[in-house]
Amino acid sequence: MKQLLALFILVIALSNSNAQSKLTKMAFVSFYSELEDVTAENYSGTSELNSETGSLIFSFAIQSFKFENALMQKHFNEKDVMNSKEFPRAKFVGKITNNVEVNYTLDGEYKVNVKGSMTIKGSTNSIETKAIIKVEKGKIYANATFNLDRFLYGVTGNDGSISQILNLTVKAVYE
Amino acid sequence: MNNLKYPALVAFCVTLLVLGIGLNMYFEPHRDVKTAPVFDEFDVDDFTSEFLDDPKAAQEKYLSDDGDSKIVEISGTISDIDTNLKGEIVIELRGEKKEAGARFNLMDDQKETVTKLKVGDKTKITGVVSAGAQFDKDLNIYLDAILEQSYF
Repeated sequence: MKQLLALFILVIALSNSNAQSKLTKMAFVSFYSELEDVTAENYSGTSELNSETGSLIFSFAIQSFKFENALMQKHFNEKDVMNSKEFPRAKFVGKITNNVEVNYTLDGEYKVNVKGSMTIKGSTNSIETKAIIKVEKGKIYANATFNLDRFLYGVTGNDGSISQILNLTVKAVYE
Repeated sequence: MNNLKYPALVAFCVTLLVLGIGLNMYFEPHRDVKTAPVFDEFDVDDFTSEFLDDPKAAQEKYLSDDGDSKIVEISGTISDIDTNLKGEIVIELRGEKKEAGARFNLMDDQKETVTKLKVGDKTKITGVVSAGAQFDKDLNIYLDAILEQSYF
């Protein structure tokens, strides 16, 4: 009887923990370089938000970044820039530090602080930014805009055509 | 005077040529994926397994330094049909193995074909390899392979 009760509690706990984790395989990230007015967009990210713990993870395929200019796209992937052949994905692992202020069961917009680590091209650095969590009709919308110093990740390249500080926008819809 | 005209004309022509080549390179169009050769055809399980078993070898085989990676045709069962934040249709194919599948971002002109398909149908999709399948320890899931500029 005790074993049955323990199994029952385990099943409830597991189903509950799954309900807190929401996954999307269509997260968006773009970056903008002011120097040459260049934007690249990626709509193929995988992201998970755990509303219980505030844990937030994003993974993006580097070769899914699309540029309007073909030459720039090729240059972006090259060894001395993103080296996407050797490092095909970038990842952010972090947490909403004021997650207790978000009511995921109540429609509304919540200003949150996100802290974590970003790994690009094998280099990991800490990132801290503000973001917006919007809860609407059972869906959770995450939106953040922040600056990233590409030199910290060894993304140098051999020309000065792209700004050192890139402006990133990240969006995800969790259902 | 004639002695000066000739070098000036040559310099002008060379400048024009260099400028032309430079502009041509800068405004070079993206690769036409539909007319480019297909590297190989796979079952979705075989394709994802190649990346899961030996990621380095698979990256070397399918990914290109400049991002114009290999174009492959993958067959499998449709497990998801969705629309991304840009409005592009995304199809996920899976095989017998449950851990990882392949996700295809379809070209805009493929929308009509998609209307004839549903989850559970077997199909073949061709696309550019962007990333292979891999296990992510933080997400604790297998990430699907991603293929861009896909078509039936």
